[in-house]
Amino acid sequence: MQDKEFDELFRNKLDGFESAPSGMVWENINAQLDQKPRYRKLVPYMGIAASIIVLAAASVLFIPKKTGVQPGHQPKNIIAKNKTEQPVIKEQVQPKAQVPTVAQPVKKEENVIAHVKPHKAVPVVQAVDKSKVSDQAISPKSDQPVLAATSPKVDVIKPVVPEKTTPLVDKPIVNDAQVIAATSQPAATSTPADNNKPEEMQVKRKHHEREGLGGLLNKLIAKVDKRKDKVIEFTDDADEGESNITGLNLGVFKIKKEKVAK
Amino acid sequence: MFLERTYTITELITRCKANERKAQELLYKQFASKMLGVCLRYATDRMEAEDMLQNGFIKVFQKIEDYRGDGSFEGWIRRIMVHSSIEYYRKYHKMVQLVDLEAGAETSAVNPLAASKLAADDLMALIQQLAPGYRIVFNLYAIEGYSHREIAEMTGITEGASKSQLSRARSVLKEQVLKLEGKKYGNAG
Repeated sequence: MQDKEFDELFRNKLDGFESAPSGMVWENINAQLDQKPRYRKLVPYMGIAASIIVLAAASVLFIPKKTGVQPGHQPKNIIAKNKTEQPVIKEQVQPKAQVPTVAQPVKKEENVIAHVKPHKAVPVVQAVDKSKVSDQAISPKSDQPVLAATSPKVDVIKPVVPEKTTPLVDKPIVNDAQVIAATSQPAATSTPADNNKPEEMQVKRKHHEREGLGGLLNKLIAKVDKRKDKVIEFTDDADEGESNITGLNLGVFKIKKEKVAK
Repeated sequence: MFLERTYTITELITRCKANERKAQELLYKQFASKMLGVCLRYATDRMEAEDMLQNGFIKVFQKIEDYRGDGSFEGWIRRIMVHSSIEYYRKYHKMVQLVDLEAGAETSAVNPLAASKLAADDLMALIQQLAPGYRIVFNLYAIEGYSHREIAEMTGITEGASKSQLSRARSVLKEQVLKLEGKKYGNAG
């Protein structure tokens, strides 16, 4: 028998072969169909949902701040340290402090940092940024309890801020003292003397925190990535209004944003 | 096996696209036996065949929205069953990539008349006894009618491997057929 015929033999006999399946098969199919549709319809959207969540989380972190620019290198650290890093903060603040608003934040940061801003008050910063360093600035945000506490001090900041663009450096010391004083004060009263500091501190702190995000990330990344061009770099300049990625270095692929002189 | 045919196939398809459970059940009942017949050829035993059938129908209901009505519906379901069965094997068994040295040697002739007396059940049993790799290739080529190139695409083996596995399958089957004929009909050839 030729191959072809042999094949045909099998084909003819088996092609139309029928056999009734057991009842279990449909039951299983039925059960699976009950679950399937939900999952299946969702699957295409899960990816989108996940992306949205990631983007939302990222954008919350990178909320643009109008307030000043800050080098933002160490703001967070400083904040965490509560006063020890003021000088650092100041430096960072300086570069950016070109705009009055910037100045504001800077000031606040210093004070704030000294003050203790344990948590990253991104929202706080925002509040600070937008407002003129007033009490209100601080209160609006719900998650700025800390700031709120120090708000009394914030009052003063206003007057101070506009003028200090660079002073940060100088301020530190002064601020420290003030900050300390400010911190020690209960939130209740806000005396002019204290006001300056607290506000400044708060503003600064907010700035630091805000701008510090990019800077902090940069710092963290620097610890791990020892290359000149890090795997990913962020803006630590609050002027940008939002933390941006300024550089990416994946070995084969590199891109770096030139800093635009202000 | 038909249950009451109150719907045409087209109607059933439309309702299945809408995920109507009753329509899905009717569609299943309409084609299950035939499709089990297909799966039995790819499986080692009945239990495995029913697993393949189950998976296959789940796929059918998932993909039914893509069915445009072009071509025979039964052919469409069947293709899904075949793919599902192969996938089942790729998952649980390795598709053997055999390169046969003695490819295609004609074995002793099989008496066509005697052979045709063998019942479908017998032939089914013979196929199920084949090694999975041989079995799948033989099914795809000899019964479904795919080319070696198509088989290579569907199974992930090379065309050459497909050819040699087909030969091997045939020679093993022929041997078995002869034995069976001998047993059943007392006729060696």
